Amino acid sequence: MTKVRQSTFIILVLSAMIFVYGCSNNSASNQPASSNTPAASDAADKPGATELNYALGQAVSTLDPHLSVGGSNANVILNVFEGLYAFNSKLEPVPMLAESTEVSEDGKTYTFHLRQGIKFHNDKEMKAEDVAASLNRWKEKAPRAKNSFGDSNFDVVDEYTVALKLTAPQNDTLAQLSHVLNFAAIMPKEAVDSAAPEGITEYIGTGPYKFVEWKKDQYIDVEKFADYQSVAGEPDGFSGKKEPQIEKLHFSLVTDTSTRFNSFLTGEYSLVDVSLDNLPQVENQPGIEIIKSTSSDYNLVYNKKSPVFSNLINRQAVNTALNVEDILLGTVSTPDLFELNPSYMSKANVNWYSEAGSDQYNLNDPEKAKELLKQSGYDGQEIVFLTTKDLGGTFYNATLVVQSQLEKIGFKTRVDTYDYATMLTKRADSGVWDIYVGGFTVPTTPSQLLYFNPTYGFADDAKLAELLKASTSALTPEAIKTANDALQQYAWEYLAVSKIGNTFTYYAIRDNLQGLILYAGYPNLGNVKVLN
Amino acid sequence: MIIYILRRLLALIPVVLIMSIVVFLIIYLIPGDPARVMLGDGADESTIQELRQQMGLDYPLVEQYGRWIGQALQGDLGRSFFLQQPVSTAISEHLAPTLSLALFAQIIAVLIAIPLGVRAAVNRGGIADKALNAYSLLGISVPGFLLSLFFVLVFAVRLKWLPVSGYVPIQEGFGSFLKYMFLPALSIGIVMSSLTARIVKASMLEVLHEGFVKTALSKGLSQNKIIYKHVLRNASIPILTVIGGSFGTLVAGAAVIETIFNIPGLGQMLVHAVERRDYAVIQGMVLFIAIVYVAVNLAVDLLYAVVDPRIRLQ
Repeated sequence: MTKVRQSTFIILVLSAMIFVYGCSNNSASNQPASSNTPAASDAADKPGATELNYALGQAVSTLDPHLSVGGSNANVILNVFEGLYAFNSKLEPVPMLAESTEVSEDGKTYTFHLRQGIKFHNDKEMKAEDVAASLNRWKEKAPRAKNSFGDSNFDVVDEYTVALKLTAPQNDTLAQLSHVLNFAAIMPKEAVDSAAPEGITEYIGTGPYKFVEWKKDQYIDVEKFADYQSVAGEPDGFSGKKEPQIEKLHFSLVTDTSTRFNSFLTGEYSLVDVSLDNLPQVENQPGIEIIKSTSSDYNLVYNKKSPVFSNLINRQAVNTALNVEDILLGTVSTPDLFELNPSYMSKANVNWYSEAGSDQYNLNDPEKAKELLKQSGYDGQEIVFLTTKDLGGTFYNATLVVQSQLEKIGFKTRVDTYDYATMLTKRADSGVWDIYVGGFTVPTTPSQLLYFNPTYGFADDAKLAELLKASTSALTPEAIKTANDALQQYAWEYLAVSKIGNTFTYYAIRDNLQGLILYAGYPNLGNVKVLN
Repeated sequence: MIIYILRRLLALIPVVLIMSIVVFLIIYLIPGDPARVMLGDGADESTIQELRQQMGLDYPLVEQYGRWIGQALQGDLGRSFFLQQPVSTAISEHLAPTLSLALFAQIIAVLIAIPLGVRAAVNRGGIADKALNAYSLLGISVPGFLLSLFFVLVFAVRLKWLPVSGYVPIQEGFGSFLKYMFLPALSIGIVMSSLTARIVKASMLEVLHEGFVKTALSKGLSQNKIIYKHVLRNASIPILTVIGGSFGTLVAGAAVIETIFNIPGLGQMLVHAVERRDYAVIQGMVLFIAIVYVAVNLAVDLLYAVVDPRIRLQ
């Protein structure tokens, strides 16, 4: 009898649990809301919350803007620091801390006139000595700045004027100053002078939020900067006015994708990146808007020093065989999240987008590829793909599709998979790999195209270097376009890489979050408001 | 007793030394360069070499080890370039969440395992025994991370009774601490209790058949007194061993559970350190883990003598 009562009790408890679970509110993501449009007419009048929680997917390795190479770092840095210029949504440089800039006729001297009365977060006024110290450090620390401005200096002209004297014209100077990675942030001279080898120790900028606390690998707190002086103009990309309507921004590190997503469902966060698996749970839900933001620029990089791919005909064979749509589909799993693009620049980039040489893009002609392999005398040597399953596994997925396409035309292949740190080290060694397929941060000017550089995939071609230099030293818009087209045309002939396409990431945003702008996945939180 | 403890502590030195040398060699032999990770895609070789020099990575391996162990013996575990803080500070900051989780999970495990194991042993073949078999099979075969995700889905996302993730230190309120810590501790506690309960049952069964139990019964002692005061105490040596071992493992960091519940503990810190090749943190953590294991084992050995006076430590 006792046993029967015990059994009955257990069954009742289990039934009750299942009942509670089954009858529970299933509308975690269905909070009714009128609109998620930032411009909602009544949004401005509604009372807002004073705090915004923001989940970061990757650990913040540094808050030093000059050293930061993206990821979660930039989410924080871009809201604390500012540069002389900032990109708008068309990737055009727009003045931020600069009032105006004069460029000499020969294109070798840039004179920056600074906005006056701008205060750092330590209440000190920004002056030319701070700008010069910051930008001279930036050009020493940031590899792309070192390449472009290594021999030049930012000099103080007067209290509110700084000059850059170049040895050769550099037409992308303002774009380099606007780029979000290795960000050319302005900070007080004292912060620059006291910087340790691993980075600055005081995070003092001029941005709309000031640094409060950083608990390493846990969270970063910033608060509204009361003395922030906004530029005029509508917010666009990272340019334009910034008028934060919250008091505190709490960035939490939440590395696990499902934890981030579940926390969004419970309302802890108002914004989250959404994987394809999770999309059905938030798609078409009232109160939630799904948007997509540019994520990566996918390329197949050839090791030009490898025995197989030092031969141009073998590179042409690979390029001829590629079906980029299949590769992109295998990478992001849906046509909604990729875009075919033959240019090395994004379509939004009004100054540098070019379709020159695009007849070599997405050829998908295995028979012709086989002929090219015969012509090159490929002897069946195994080619090694270098990849990683880190970063969400997308590099690995893309690599497998390329591998399958190349095996069909007769290449013997092997995939070497490592963790990200090991992969970086292996990639620097020209003797251990042949092909690397991966996503790059979307570049904004040709001088940022890493794979035209001898250190990345080991491109070593005098004509390519000459055309690259010509594209950045041209002075008029017409000359720049001509030089840029010539560069891209030749790039498709030389094949340092084979361009695959651009990918996007889905984000879910609750309609209580107003005024957010996502630029290539990085948030401009300068105008956000969180409705109660 | 004091001599015994001192001996055990002295024995720690070669263990830690050998372990530190092995780990040092392993982490330096695997490819991956912290300077390259730090500088990212666009860095050129000269910049990378410059940073390597600043980080002290260009010294010969033996010299690097010598420097590290020399500093460690003086209580300095080095400095993390990534965290920009001393390793000892980083460990102490991440210790409290891990220790809280380990203790809480252990309490849950013991509270489930001991009554269940005892009932299963006393009523062998009965419903408690069958329940234990089913429970332990489930606990051992279902991975902790799966259990965690299930709990999150039910109790956090659906029912909204508890938060999905996070950590609130106990000093900021016991209620909040419990609210955030309950699901992770339960996830680990269930897995741990399934093994512990089986050990409790097996040890109890062994002791239940001994003569003193029959004597106690014939003297008219109550069943509960016999079971909990005499049998359980005599059966406790293997139970303590299992509990000690699992506690040591937990203090070393439950990386997966900490990641799922976003608890800023030692496990998460170690995972990040390995990803970044943050050598100073990896070395410091390994040293710390070795000390924790030896300390826990020492504590368990001492407890043997407390629960069973027949054991004399020499």
